[in-house]
Amino acid sequence: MSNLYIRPFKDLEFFESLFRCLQIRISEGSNWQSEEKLIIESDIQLSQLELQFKFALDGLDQERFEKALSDNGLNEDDIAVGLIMRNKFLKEISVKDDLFPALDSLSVLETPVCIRPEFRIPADQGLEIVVSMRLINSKQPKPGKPHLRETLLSSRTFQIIPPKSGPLDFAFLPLTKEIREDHKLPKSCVSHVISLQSFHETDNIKDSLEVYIDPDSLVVMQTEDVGEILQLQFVTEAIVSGLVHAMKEIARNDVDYSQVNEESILKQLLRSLADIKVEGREKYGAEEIFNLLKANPHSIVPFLEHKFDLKKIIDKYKAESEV
Amino acid sequence: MKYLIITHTKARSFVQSRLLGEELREADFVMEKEVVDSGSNLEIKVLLDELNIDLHKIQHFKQGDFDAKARPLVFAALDRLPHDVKRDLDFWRYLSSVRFFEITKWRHPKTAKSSVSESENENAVDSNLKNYGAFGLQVTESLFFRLYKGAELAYDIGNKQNPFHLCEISNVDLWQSHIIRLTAGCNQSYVRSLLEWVKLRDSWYEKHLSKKHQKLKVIDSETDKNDHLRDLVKRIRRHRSNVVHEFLSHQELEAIINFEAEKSLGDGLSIPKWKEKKEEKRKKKSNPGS
Repeated sequence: MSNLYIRPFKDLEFFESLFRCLQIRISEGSNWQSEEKLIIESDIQLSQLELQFKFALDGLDQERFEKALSDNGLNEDDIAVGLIMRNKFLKEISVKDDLFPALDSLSVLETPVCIRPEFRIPADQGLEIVVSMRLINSKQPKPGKPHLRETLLSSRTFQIIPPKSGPLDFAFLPLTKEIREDHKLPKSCVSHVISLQSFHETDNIKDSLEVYIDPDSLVVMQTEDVGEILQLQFVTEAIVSGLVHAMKEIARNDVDYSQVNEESILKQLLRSLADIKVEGREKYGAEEIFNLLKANPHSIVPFLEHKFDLKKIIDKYKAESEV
Repeated sequence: MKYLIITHTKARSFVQSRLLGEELREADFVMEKEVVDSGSNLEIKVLLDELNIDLHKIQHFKQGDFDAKARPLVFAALDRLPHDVKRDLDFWRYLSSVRFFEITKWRHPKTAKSSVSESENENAVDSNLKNYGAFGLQVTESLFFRLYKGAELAYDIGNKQNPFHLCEISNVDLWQSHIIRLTAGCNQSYVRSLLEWVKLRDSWYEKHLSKKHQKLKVIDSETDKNDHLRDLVKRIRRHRSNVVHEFLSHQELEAIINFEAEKSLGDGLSIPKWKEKKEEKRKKKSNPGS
């Protein structure tokens, strides 16, 4: 999650494009990837993490780099790329402030660098990695230009997700016989959601919901063509469940939009839905969606279906099954 | 070395049943784990029994003060354990939910708020279970992890006489809402700077409160101080979206905290916004029709 607040800088597009080119791989032999969520396949892989980073400079050249620096009143030695690793479960961080050698030219970023996490990551915990480019020298303040030391120019966050996790960091847990009995659930049900902490009080979905799925459905989700659709349906149901809980809490405690923590799941969700284009009207604002949800938490469903591109996935499934 | 753990689902049923007064066999819920080649001869059971005695001695303190006294004790006892034990979430869960169940129950009595939440939503779990590590997968808010981590983050290596002096701050809101629950609370340098500011805030107010603010009684109670702190932390969070605090020095973080604390008081002539809003809300609640 980045840029929670409006940033007062106007000439950082180059640095943002640069960070879209950042690639990561989890060990020497594995594939480079740009996705922000890296799901580790096994505990062994997790204990042998040897993270590598490089920038695939797709169309970004030295000339544009120099222009971006001069537009911001900076030199090459004013900036550095650093890395923060966080284990949120144990509240640990490890920091490296010069991930790449001196940035005398942009091409330095093309050579992979390797980092081994300083702390061992237990199998049930993940790791958050933030790679950022910062201003490392203070500058004279000028409107719209970064000047404070350690001002963030751009960054990218990767989540190393331990085995058994699904999309949106949901830890789908098996709906065992024991759970069915404990919660007095009908024999043939396939999912059950337990609300823990309200969406407006936490920034971590794992703290908020426990989503139990029938083990056979989990297999279908992972192996069959229709699995992706099924998975998104479960995710939608779980989010709606979480919202029903959150909106009750919000109504009970008389919480208004401005009081909801910026880092909470709820605010993240609202922000991610606020940009959706809707025909015949202007885009919904985050606060407007908040008010819709207050009246009826289920009104999130069409937004989620759009966000998940469910129609496209169903069309693809339909086309494949017709072949 | 062998040690005991409990999984989060087992911890939940154990704590829920114990809170209903049921007698349970611990052995039916906990599991034994072993650290191979720990290089340690520590007897965890003995160590925890000794900690239990020490904690009972300070249970006459009220709860925030209990935390302040308990932090150094918990840290001193558990810091000697092998890393693999301290990295095991289910071990921390075991401490708060099973081994020290009675202390957690005394420290965190069931609140009216959590009871309402349960009655309104049958699938909701009492949020008080977080204090036992029996709520979800996370244990960051469980009592014993919180006490240990608080001491670790606040440890002042430069103060030879009392490296735990910052642990002694008993403000519950500060530790829970502004440190343990926040990502910024992973950064030891920031946590120490914030604690130092809070520790010395009375003298800070003497220096920084304008005559007008003194007259207006802007900071007139512990509640005012905590509201100011809440606004300060909010401002720091906003600052963090532009500046990477993890790369700043302790002195730089201190300067940011001082600067934002001053800004939070506004122009020194009128009531700061956070106080104004609270007043409005209070008035609205007492006169809902107006």
